[in-house]
Amino acid sequence: MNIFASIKRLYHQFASPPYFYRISGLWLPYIMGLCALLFAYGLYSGLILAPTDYEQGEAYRIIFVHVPAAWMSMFIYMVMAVTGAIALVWRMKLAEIVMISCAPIGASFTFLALATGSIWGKPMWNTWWVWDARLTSELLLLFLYFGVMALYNAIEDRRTAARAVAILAIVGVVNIPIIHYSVEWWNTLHQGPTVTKFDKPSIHLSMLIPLLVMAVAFKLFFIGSLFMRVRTELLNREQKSKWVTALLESK
Amino acid sequence: MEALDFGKYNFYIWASYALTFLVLLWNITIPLLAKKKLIKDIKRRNYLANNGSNETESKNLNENTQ
Repeated sequence: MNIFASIKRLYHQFASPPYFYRISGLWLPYIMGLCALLFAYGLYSGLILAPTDYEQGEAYRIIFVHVPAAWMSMFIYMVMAVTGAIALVWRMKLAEIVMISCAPIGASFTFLALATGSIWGKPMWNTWWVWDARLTSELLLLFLYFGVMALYNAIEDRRTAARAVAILAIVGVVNIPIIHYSVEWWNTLHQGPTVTKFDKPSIHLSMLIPLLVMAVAFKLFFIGSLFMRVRTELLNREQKSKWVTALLESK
Repeated sequence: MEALDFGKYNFYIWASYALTFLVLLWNITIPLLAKKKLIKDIKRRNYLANNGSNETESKNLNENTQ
């Protein structure tokens, strides 16, 4: 019983803008610091330690930025949809802000996944682009992010806008499994999964480690960048409240 | 630096990593600039409100920050 009470208390604490602003400000330097360390190690092990691939030569090294970016593009979309659902059901202001702050970050990672994939495709497939299932569904994801941002900006009232965006974000979730399974459901130029296979990843440890380190670095970066955006939007929405006035006066 | 020479794939690899760097940089600078501008705007508005400036000026400013 007490556990439920403390979870509920924690939930309300985190939903409170001044509390979230303070705590996220304390965490931010550690998140970004750890992220920088992981990036440094990921780059070192990916570009220098990892051996040359027997099939793709050196070109495969694009995997260390392409795959984490693509994972993030889908992960951020799920965060956006889940916080959208929370915003719809509980009308929680912080959830609305997190949801809408996800969109530009997610769009940038989707763009990065598409662009690095294209650059990787040129030497491997001899083409920058093909309209196959994986590439097309990932492009659709980019348009979904753009749609979310455009819809949010098209509606004057922030709370109404957030509700409309939440519905769009939730409906768009249908695209995520399509992206993930596209390389299995359809015959495509894009190579199959090498890490998320049920039996055993078909990638050597010396390549898997830098890939996973980079993936964690990307994830931390997303959290840090999200915190930065959420904190600014909190200040914006609460600019007439006492805590913001007190905060700015103390500076 | 020999280890960082990827032969005929140099362009493709370094273009990918450069793009990644730019996307990360964008994701840091945009929120930083937005926060700086917002704090400046709020401070200016609070200053005008506290220092009995004329009504029309602070009204205009409010409209601009919406």
